[in-house]
Amino acid sequence: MGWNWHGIGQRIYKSSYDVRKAIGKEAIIVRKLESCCIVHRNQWLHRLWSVIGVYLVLASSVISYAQETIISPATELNLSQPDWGIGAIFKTATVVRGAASCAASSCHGGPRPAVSTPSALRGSEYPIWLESDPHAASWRTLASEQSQQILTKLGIIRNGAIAKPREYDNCLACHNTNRELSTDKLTPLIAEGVGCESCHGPSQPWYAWHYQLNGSLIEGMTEIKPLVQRAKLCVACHVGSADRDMNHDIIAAGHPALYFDMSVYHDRYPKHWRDPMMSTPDYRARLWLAGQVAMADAELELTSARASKTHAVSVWPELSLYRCTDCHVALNGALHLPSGDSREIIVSGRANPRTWNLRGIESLAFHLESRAALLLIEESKNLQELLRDKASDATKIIEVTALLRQLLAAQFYPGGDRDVVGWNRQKLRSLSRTQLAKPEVGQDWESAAQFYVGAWASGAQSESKQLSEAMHTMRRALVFPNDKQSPSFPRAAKTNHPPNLEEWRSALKQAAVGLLESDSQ
Amino acid sequence: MKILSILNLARSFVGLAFCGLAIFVVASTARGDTPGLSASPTVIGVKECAACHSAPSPIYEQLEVTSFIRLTEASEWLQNDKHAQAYELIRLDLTEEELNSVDRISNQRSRDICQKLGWSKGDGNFEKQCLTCHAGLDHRTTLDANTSSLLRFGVQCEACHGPGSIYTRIENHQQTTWREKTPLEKSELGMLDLASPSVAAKVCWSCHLGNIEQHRFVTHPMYAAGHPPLPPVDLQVFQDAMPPHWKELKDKPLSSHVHAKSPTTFAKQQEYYQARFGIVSATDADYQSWRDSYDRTRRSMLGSIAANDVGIQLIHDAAERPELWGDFAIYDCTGCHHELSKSKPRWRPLDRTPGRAYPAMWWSLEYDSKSSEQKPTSSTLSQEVLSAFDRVPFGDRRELVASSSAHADALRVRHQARQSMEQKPMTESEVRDWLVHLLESRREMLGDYWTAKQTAWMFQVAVRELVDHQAISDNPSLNKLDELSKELNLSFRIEPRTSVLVNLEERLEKSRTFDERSCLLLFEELAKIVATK
Repeated sequence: MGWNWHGIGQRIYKSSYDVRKAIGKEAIIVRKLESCCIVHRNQWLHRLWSVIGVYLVLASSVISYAQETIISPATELNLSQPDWGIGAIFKTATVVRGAASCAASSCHGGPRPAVSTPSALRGSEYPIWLESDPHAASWRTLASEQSQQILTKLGIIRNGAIAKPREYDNCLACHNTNRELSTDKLTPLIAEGVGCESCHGPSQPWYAWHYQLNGSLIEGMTEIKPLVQRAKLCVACHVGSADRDMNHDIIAAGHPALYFDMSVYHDRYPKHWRDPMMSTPDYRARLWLAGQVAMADAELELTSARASKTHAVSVWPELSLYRCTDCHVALNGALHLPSGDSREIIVSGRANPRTWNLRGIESLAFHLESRAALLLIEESKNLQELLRDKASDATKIIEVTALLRQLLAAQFYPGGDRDVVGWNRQKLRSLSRTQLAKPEVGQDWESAAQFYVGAWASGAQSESKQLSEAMHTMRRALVFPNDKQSPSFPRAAKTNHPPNLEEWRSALKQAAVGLLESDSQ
Repeated sequence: MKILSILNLARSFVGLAFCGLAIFVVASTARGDTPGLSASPTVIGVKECAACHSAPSPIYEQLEVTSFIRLTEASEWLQNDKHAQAYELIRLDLTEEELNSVDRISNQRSRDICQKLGWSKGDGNFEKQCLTCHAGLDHRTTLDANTSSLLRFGVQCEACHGPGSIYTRIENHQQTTWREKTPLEKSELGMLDLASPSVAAKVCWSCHLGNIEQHRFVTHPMYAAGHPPLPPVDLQVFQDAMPPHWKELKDKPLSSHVHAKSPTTFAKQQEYYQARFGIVSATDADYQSWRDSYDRTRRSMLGSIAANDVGIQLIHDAAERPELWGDFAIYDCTGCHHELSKSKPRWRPLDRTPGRAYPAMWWSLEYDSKSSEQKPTSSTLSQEVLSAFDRVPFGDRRELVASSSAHADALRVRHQARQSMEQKPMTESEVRDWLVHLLESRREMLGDYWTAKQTAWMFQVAVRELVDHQAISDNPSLNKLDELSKELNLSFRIEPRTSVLVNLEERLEKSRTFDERSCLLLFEELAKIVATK
């Protein structure tokens, strides 16, 4: 959102022309007055004061005009929570029919597109989903041996029966989004994972007539073409929401921690649609941005819900708000220095808040430099301070997260995903470059992985030989070792697990050079 | 004139009265009659102790004093005991040259710790937080020229034996009547009864585990800044590692005492043994039974039970202080500091809520002497305490204050019966039972390295004593002990004047990589050997 400097300059010049004309006229009036009236002895002083007065009036009007349109105080921004148009499928007042109801072979269950309905975009959505989509397997995952162990450890399942229905609903909310067990009397439990209606919306309002509309917007069906809308749908499960809290207790019971990125996940997703934008070179970068916006919003909503303890599984303090690797590092004799200002952290002996979902927005706000963006950074820092302070007031955290969500919406929401459209991979690359300038990037796994993913989304690995080698080295450093769910990165000591911190740092330098070069092209 | 003379008389009376009072006061304090004594006992420093306790003078050898006391304690201690170097290894006032030498790795580390924690010279932090353990400093002491010079010798005599100003200057322990006093009387005069394992353990664990009231507590910021993690404790193993500067019971002659020939003193000796061991008659057979008893195992067991008391006290004291509460050092280190593994699930007893921090469980051991079988019970933290830790991450502070003090009270009642263990020798069957039930009660907790290490140390002491008494054969039990020792890295001895930092990494490596299953197998095999008579 750069300002139209040229336009502003022109406007000022134009208005100054009027001013200059007016001053000229004013001088004539003064002289006329002098000639016919009793005037002050010091005519020059008189003229000077009147000219200054005129200029002051004009200057203040210019400034107030600029303030109104360009820099507005926060209270004047539209800070109401926008309606993104996406609801949680989980709690719905309509009957959910399940994916199988979309699966007629002449509708969405066919072998190939346009067999019976020439206008159908794909026609084989259901088989693609059933066979390749991990979302179809999410119910099977919940029913697996490992999940049963998790459920048992949490006390949700006892002696083969569900002992804690509201907490079981928390699992269903992501793994089988069709029905809330404890309250929904309409829909029977459908043994399928995340199906069609989880993303496209409950079908009851539109299933009877949607086939007549030939691909135009169907009222009641979730609008998921705009990328930010799409990402918001994903993060409802992959980050969390007020109804979906995958917290540290559940992670400790055995559930993998959540690390979402829209560009990566979207890239790997077996697509049951034809996306005309897919082949554009900036698509990944735009997905990355859409993801960051959605991830931040979801994280803030989830943090607020956790602090309010409205969910059955909420505990406070919630440990998954902190960086995993700050605690989960095996004790070793060599000093393990945490990142950031190590002295401050050591004095408190505390962990850093986890910024996986918020870091992109912070970096972006640095990049954009508008006033709302600056406020965003300030409040973001405030939130991290609050989280670090053990005795922090949950009420304060709720306030700060609400404010942050409003600022986020003000920054990115107006006009839907307009900003995603204006974004491209060059901008993402220059953002990555500014991130590189920060010393804390690369001191811990999270910041390093965030950087890597951002660079990947900007297409760095296929840009030049230098960059792709650097990316390859970085990737090897970041991958978890076999059998571990925690990284070995960074390793200060010499180790034969490749690569170590020195190699990572040289790869970073190489990447910096490569990004600079690609920028200049 | 008359008045003058009367006045003079009056003056002289007053003067005399004053003198008399002064003499009386001085005399009575010198005799020690005045209860409470004018001031609390103060530390006098190892130099004074060393005047007698560095080498026995011929007169003491003549009087056979050396039959029950070595009188070489100070010199042995200075040379070999790690406590003597506790201050030297962390002192800050070294020059840059000295710091760079390899031997000074611990001094460099203590400097780093102070710097990271923002402690500067003269703000008292180093003294109050480090020297309370590393120099046995009482936290109320103000450091002046006199006391600063005492620091040089680290944890000195009086840090464990009790401040010596009374029992050296007022009621002198060199007198022959000293030996006739009961341990309780000696305690009141300042000398702690370190022959009692429970008393000794409380003293040892006040540093080696922690005591918040005495400002002896390694906080989590200190660990994060570089303080090495504290190992689990076993009284006998630790005492062996010092090495001991005292005679063990079995090394003392049967009826040793000063002036052995005198029947009066012999009678008083009887009283001593009565008070100490509850032995009614004074026959040699009774003393023999003590000397043949399993004193080392008894010491190890009583020391572990004392560790339990100290541990629960730590929780209580930390919960009582809002400014200290939330310090992560109260909790089990490996509860957080473990790598996340896919296939090897994190060990945890099944009935605990996942994702919560619990206090360290290696010290959780109780000798429930109410039950006739007298077996130790596991997870001795009461249900109330555990649920207070369960309810919210890191525990509900207020609930913990109440539940931990209730638990400590209950333990105190139960452990009153422990007095009987203090007063009777441990027999072979008791040792066998102890080991078998120890394993049974701790089987589920042996996935934790600290617990496994402490259990292994207890096994080591008991099994070796059984072998020494020839109750079991040395092969294969000693072999199994060796394997266990290798797997858990039980080795303790490091050279004097060497810091623990030198091989800390190796030691900690086992905490990450030890094979729980093979350790459990070894424990079971040892228990089997021990159980069969």
